[in-house]
Amino acid sequence: MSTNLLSFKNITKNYSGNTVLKNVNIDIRSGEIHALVGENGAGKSTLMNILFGMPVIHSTGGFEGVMELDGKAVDIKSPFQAMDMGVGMVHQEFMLIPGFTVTENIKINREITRDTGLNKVTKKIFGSRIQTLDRPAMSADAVKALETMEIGIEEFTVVKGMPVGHMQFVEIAREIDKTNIRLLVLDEPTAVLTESEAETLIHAMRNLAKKGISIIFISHRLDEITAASDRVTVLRDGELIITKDTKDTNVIELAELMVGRGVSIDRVIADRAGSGDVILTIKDLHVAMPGERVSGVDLEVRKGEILGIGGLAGQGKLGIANGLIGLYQAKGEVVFDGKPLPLGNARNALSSGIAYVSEDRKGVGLLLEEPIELNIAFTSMQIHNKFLQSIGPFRFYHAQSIRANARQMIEDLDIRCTSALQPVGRLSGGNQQKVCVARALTQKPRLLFVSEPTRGIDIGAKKLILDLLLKLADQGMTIVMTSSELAELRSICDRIAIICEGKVAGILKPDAPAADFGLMMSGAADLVKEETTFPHVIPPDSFAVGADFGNLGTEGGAE
Amino acid sequence: MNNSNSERIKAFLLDNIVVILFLGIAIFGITASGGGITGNYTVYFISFFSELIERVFRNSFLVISLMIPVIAGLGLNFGIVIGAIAAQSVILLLRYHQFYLEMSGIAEFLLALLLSLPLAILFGWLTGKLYNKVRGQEMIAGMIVSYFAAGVYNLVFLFIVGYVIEVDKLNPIIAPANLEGLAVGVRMTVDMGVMTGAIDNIIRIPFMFFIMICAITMACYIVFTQVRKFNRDRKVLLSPLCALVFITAIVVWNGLGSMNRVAAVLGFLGVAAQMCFLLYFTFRHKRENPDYTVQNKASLSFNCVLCSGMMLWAVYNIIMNTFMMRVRQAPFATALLFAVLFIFLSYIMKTKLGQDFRAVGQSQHIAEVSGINVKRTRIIATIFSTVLAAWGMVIFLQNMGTLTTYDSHRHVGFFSVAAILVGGASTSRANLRNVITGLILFHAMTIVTPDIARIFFGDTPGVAEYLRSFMVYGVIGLALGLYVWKTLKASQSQNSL
Amino acid sequence: MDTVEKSTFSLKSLVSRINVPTLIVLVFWIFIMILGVINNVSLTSMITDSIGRFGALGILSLAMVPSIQSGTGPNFALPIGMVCGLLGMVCAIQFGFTSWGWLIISILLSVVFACIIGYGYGILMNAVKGSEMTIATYTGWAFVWLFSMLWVILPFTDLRLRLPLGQGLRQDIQLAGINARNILTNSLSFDINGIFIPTGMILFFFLCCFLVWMFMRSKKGIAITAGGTNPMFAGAAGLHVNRNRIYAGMLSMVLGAVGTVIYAQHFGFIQLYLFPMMFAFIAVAAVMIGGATVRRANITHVIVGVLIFQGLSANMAPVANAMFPGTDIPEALRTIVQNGIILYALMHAKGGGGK
Repeated sequence: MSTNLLSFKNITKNYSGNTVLKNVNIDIRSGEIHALVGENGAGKSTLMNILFGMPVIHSTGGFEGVMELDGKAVDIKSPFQAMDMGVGMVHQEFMLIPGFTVTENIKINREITRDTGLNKVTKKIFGSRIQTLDRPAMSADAVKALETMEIGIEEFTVVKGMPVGHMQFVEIAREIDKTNIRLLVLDEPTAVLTESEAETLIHAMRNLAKKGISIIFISHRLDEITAASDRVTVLRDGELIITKDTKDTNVIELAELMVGRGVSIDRVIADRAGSGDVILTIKDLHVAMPGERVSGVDLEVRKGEILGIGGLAGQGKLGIANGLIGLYQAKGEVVFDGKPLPLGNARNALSSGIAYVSEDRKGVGLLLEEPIELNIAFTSMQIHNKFLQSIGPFRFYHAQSIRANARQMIEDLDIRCTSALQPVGRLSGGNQQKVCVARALTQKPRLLFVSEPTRGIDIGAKKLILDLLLKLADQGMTIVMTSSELAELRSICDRIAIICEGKVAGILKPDAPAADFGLMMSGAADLVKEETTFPHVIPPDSFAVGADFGNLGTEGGAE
Repeated sequence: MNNSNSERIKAFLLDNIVVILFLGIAIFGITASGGGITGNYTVYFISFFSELIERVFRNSFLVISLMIPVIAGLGLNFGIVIGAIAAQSVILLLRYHQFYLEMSGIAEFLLALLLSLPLAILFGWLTGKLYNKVRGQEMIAGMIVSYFAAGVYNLVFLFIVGYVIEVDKLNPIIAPANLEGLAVGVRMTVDMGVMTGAIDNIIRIPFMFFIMICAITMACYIVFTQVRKFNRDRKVLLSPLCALVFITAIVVWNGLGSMNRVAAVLGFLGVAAQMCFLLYFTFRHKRENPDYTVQNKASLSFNCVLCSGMMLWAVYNIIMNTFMMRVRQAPFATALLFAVLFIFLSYIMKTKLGQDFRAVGQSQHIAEVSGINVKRTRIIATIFSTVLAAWGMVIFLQNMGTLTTYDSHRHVGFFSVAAILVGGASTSRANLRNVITGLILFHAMTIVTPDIARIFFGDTPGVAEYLRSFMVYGVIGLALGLYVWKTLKASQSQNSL
Repeated sequence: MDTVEKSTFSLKSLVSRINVPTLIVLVFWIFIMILGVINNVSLTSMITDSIGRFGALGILSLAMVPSIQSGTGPNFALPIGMVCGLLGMVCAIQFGFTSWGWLIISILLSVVFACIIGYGYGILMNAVKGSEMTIATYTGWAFVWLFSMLWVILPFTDLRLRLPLGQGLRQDIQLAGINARNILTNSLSFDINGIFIPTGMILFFFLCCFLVWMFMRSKKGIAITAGGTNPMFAGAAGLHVNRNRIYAGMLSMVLGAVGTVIYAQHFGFIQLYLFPMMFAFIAVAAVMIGGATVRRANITHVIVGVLIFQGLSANMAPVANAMFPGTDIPEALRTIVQNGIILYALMHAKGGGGK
């Protein structure tokens, strides 16, 4: 049990100056289930990319440090090389061909071919690609792999139409079937499973481990991690926090380690005198955003506050703003400023005074080839009919007012550019973000949604953006900020809603203990102490934001 | 899986709407024609089936050449025109030299197949490279590239032959000298000479005999696929052996003389023997494995009824010596060649390469991640298609008897694509059933359009051609449009609540 | 949004914006002209031909701008718009209009037809997102064949339209008979050293360009372009992307219809039946030569592209006839250039910023 199969030694990785992994040392023993825990951006996926020699690593200058397999340093240059060395991965998104049977998927590109009769001849002439498949042998292999997991899937079923849980098992079976498999990485394997399926999976993992296959288990569900793993490693901000035997730790400690106790928050205590009136009520919101599905969110936003929305990636926090704005199909009851807000088209939300800064700056937020001034004026022009001049029944682009507005915004927000005519695609990330915010501000909104405002921009620019948001809130704008960076939410928000598995796990005070944040993100909200939370629905006797939090936690957090 | 029956029927109709539509058109055309110009159904049917059998085999290779690119995810390969161009170039070369060499028809035919192979491989390779650069827009690119290639082809045979390469002015395929005494370019039409019917006319057998052979072959195919799915019983090889014996007997009998009734009995016995095989194997599986069930009962019974029906139809006509015996004789050798190709393609689809075609066709991304060389696989698929199209064009032209130098290739792409779509194929799904259904239905439609045109537009000349082309382009637009629309809807419903 | 690009005009951006195919075809055109001069083809007649074709075919290429900008891709269904133009002209003759009256009524009628058909076409293009080009081509062709049948049976009675014997309309309808031959071409025209300048037609083409340019600067035009370059952005800004694509499709069809009227008056007769068949490729190739991609096109691309491509097409025939009498190479060469450039554009479609 104690021999190390794989060792990461002093792994450091930079992405264009940004250190995402710092001196990480992890040993994976043979036959153990090793859990890997961390927030988004903690470095889990970078570490796995390094293990699999993904092109994204090598095209960005490689990494420092050594990987050792069986005590020998290895240099993995491509996923196929990793495969040859017996390292397999089960991805979060399924790599299965829907029209193929289970067997065909398990044996994809590793099909068994016949080597007798006519095939001998064809092989000599055309090579091995013209050999017929030995389907019975392939089926036998598939059955063997499926039996290892003790799950009753028939090998001749077509994958399309199978329950997602079964697809997950097929994925794993494919990795097991690789003859030399020694290390299996499971990335959030239980996310799509029902409870009983998850139990079966953990059981199967144990079986595999008994056969000597090591497993790296990445999951956000801390209870499963404590149930399934032998040892657990916590990563935070690219640093190794700790590697511990699972039996020596518990969910609360892991949550705390994951989020980080020691992080000091430069919280600007803003005594924002929000009126306390509810400006936006969301009831039972469902949003069909792929990868960020929202399934039943209840939330209230008060006038003048900054509400933070946090949670791990894929849990649905980004879906809320996107669904409300109408970018994805959504249903639910939303009341903005006393009037019901119909979902499904951005026009409704925008014209009623909501502005939105998307998390996908380049994909949704900007017209990259167009100049700054047009990007800033666009929504106001289209929705509020500003910046237009009428000639007869037609309305045309009014260059002067657009230019004037852009100049004003460039000055106010300190957008670094050569002129208002520069295409936004040429700006730096931070300045692009400012252009997005400028467009939102030009709409003069009463409620501003900002998603991931600091993603992919440097530290200086981050601070500028956050300060800007604070300033806007001080001027009386209501802001709902969605972010993966908890520290940033805690530094400027008045309340922080944590989204887990498509629902609000709870609403926390910004100064609540780190462990509470960790627990809520990991689906263990029931362990959070009540006094650190807000109720989902604000009691009728409203109160001022920034007042004493202590009396409020009466209704508890989790659902 | 809890679809109600009505929903299933709805889905089936939507999936097969093009097939049903064209079946309707063909039946409408035949019934409404009132027996054609002569007004006599006997004459009408004789000419209908004579035309049909010629057209089906004339176009068979061209249509089947579209199958592999569809499976490999390239969509419908409009670029088969390039294969046709390769074949025409080779044939022109052969026709030019034939003037001096005087080969036999079959030798020239085989030489055309042989020489067009390397040229088609080269063209296919280039087309495949192009397709890799325009992923997602292969169909429009295929269309444009075939126009491009046709331009180059015209340039070569109108101008380079004569101006740049010196040619014999007296050669019958070279255009007559112009006012300045220069012989430039190839004639507008070139006679295929001895190559005409080189393969079609080797063996011709009466149409009804041919139907009988089809029935036996189909029965054998049913047995084979039914049994092979579940185990590798060596006894199943007896089935094709038996079919072969009966087919040979029928063909030989046809060659010997006019003892038609014996042939009818042979055909009946041939199909009956296959049905016995089917019962025997089904029973055996049932005994060995009590859980054994026939996977697709509907399709199995449909196939059985169809092949019995064909057999009975043939037996009746042969024994009664009806007017159907006056239908033009079927080109048996071409049919045999088609059958060989059919078996070859089935074999390819059973190999690793075939599996890779399928994997790439369903998801390029997953195939790539699994280590399959996607680009190379796509190029191989295009080469297959181009080569088959080139051979298909040789077969097409030997049947036609004349090569319209600057026109023959132009409609090959559209007509073949329309045919396979009429057979129920889509841009992502095509099988041999689609090919055969499409060949028959599409050409039935082209035969009956003049009659339909006459019903609606009277005897105005040219309208039949307009109607036919409208149907060809309309069916391509309709089938592709429906498919894209269905796919979009499916992906939308996947991303809905 | 060419407006904005123009304002960032500088020498550097000009150099970087001239693309290689434009240059190659331009050089080829000049080369053909030089060959022509060497072989005693009159330079003035070559220039006259080029300008004539430029004016006559310009609007057909202009039709590509709205459809490309809206994200539908080049309008390969242009024959549909052209058929609307033919129908408009035929109806105008049937109603007895002649001369200028005929021209104006033709344009008005074809615009009405094109709007109606264009609306349906827009809906179709929204239903088949991702495969617009292929399906547009076939729909366009099917439409031409459909109308080929209709030309035979539609109840037009004017003897200038009908075949003297038999059923249906004539293949070519002479416009001289209604005093409309070259009506726009000859208006305000003049000669400079033997070079004929069809001022009226050129001005009309520039007027159309100006109107399209203005439209693309309007609120709706900007919305259409945004929907084409980034549908997600447009959606987030509350725009109805699909509806805007329909408007763009209608505008494109209208331009196709108007372009057909101009083309017919320039050459002096209306060609029915299969005439519109291959015009989509000609029109698309011209804008591509001007530097447009399948995702982006502006008025400059149209003007430059049409001038070069139509100039080349116009001059190849006389030059080839002078050099290689009795051959038919200009058509082959034009096919090669035309389809080569479309292939080039398709191959570079992904680099253009679209998906």
